[in-house]
Amino acid sequence: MPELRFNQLRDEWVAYSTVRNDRTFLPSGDSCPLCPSGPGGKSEVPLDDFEVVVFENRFPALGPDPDEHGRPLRPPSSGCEVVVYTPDHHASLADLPLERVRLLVDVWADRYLELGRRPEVAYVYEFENKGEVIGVTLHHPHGQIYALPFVPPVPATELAQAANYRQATGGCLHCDLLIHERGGRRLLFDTGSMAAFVPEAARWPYEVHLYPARHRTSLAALDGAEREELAAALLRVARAYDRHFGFSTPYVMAIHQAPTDGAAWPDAHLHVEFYPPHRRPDRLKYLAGVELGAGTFVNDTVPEQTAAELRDALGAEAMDSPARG
Amino acid sequence: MKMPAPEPVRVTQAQGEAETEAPPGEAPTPQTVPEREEHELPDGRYLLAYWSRRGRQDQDR
Repeated sequence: MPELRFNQLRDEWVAYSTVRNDRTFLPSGDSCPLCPSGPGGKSEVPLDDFEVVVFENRFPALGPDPDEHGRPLRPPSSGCEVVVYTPDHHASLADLPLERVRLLVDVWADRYLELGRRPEVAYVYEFENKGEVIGVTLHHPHGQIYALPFVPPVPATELAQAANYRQATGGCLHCDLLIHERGGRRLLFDTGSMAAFVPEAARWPYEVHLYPARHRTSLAALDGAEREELAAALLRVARAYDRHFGFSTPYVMAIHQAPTDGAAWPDAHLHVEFYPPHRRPDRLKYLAGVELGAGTFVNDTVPEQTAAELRDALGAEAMDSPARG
Repeated sequence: MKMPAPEPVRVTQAQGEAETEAPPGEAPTPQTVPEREEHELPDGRYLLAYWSRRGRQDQDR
């Protein structure tokens, strides 16, 4: 049974799930568990067809609250979901048409609201791991959702910093960072509604952050036009990576939104962070002694330069209308 | 043994304009909500199939 343990030294929760050690590992296309297998089929999606499907992960990192067995030392844990982007086994997010990515944004918003309503869920973390070098075990294009019983450390640090900034200045840290980046040398594009840039202190060589221009705390707070713009912006970033590196680029895509623990989080500002592991087409950035043992990232590139390279990859569409599928 | 065909348990959020729930301090904004079919897999897990308006129309043809 999955279990959470608390590391007092690090002030963090660690998830244990031994069932994941035996999960399906890089199956061939004809035995992919995420392909539609039709009614009665053996995959995880026994449907004839679909656009986007979400299902409970068969190999969850988190699980039902084990407190019923008399072990009250951890908070209630919650569910893990798999989000399959398309029936096309060989596609990637960058290959999808705009309308499919728009549907995906709606799906993420729906899951944020529904999972966030569960009393035990403090944070709905939506993300995608892409590529074998990231550690994916299934090639079929998909993302995941962890409905966490705590606010995880990275968003928690951002929220704390934003609250401190609000107290000191009265403003939103994210909004002010966005003002700082818009029109600057690290900007990739700015549609007026969405802006993408390489952050000033990027941890990863080609890290990109994507923000709605208006202060929105979650995907659910985006209006229809903003959702369309976000979908187009996601495609732009993913396609820029593929053009720049010359192959379907691995990355981690992380969506940061307001916690769902019942408290007000006025300083939360929805944004999407991309962390591709490549520092060159033939070289990976590894987390090693300084990053893992000391928590300090060493970046072999300069954000202003990688932003210029990604702008080149964006090409003519960089500063004009949204990408079309 | 083949798994039984999962029929939708129910269909929710019919396509159309709806008020989206907004976080505290933000006004609800109109959204186009996708259609959602709820299925139950043989082992009891849920599966949700989301359809855009166009995707549903194509499927119905």
